[in-house]
Amino acid sequence: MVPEKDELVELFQRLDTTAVSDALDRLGIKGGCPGISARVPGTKAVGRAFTVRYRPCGVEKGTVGDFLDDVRPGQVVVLDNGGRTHATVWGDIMTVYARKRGIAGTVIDGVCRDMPRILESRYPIFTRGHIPVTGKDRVELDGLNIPVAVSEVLVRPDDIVLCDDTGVVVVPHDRAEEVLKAAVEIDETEQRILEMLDKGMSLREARKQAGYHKLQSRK
Amino acid sequence: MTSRHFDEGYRKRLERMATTNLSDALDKVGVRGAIIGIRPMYECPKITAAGAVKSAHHLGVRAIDAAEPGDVIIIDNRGDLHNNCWGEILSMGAKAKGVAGVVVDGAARDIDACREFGFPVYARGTVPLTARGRIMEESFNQVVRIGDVQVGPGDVIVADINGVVIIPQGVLDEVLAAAEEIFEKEEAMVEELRRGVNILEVDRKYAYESMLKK
Repeated sequence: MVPEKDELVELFQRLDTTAVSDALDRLGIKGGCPGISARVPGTKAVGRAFTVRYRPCGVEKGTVGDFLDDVRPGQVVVLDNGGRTHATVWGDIMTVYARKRGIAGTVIDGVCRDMPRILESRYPIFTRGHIPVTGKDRVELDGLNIPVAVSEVLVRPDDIVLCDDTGVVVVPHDRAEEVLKAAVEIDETEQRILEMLDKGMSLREARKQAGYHKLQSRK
Repeated sequence: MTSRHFDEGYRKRLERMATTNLSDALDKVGVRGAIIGIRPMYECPKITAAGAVKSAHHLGVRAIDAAEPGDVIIIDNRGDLHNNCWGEILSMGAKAKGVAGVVVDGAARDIDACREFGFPVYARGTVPLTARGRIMEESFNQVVRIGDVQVGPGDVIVADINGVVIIPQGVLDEVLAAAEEIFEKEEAMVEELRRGVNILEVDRKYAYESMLKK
């Protein structure tokens, strides 16, 4: 399946999480997710969020859900498991099926399992770690496509999520164009500094000319 | 369960039990209900209630408005210790409404004022920071999590100096009966120890270690 064309997402795909994080700082938006990192180094995921939230099971236990059938190709699945590191909500079956459906990647405020299959398929997944213990009978589905939290950062359906080796940032969909503009400018400035350094300019002078120390500051 | 049904059938019985008795009874019945890490923020009274009211407008005011006398307000802020979600104004509003107390999975503030006018606050800690512009209320009177235990409207919460327990309403009768049995047995043990009976003998006689086996 081919993802629907989404120009904004395509433009964000050219950027890294670092430039976008600086752009979010400049605009006063909280978007970086502490503690969430790449399980497969070298992978990247950029897409619109499909959100899932879990809660602890009660006396009558619910299930962890079968929502992957409802995720559109190119989306990033964002699982809010409340930061739990004792129970997994993603494994090999989900990985293989997500790959098959062309899902861009997965972010979990929590942990995953089945690392051999994940590493083998090089599926872009960003979590707090990995353990073997299942979330089944421990947590249950609390809601789909609702506002959720990842590391205390709000993620709403259709927000743009960027994930790479540095980490995860969330761009509110209603601020995406301004964030993109600022991120592109920051990224270009940093490229310019690298070029100046390459030509033999001192770090102090190159950064001064480019205004490096205030790139991320609120204007 | 209505407030009246709870008050008539359960409140007095629950008030005799310590959270430790209820936690032991939950273990015996095989239900998770003990919360780790939420404590009274001052030497505040024990609170007992049915009915989880999660607290929007300003955080918590709708929950207070919807609460009935004797209810406990439970705030699920995911254990966040960086942002306040309960303070003096809410405490006074809740007290005026007859709310028994608040249990916060997160942080509270204005504890000095709450102590002064006597409103019980159970939380993970205190912060001076306001919630304004940092966190917002999502909903109230729905299923939430507290200390990774599910709690919904009608479930029972008991909080004292030892901690907090949640008793799901579907197992309330079973848990309460088990807690009462444990309580009576422990009272008898304490009485024997007071009379000078050797602790090894008391332990053997009451089979203390296996007391929670079904």
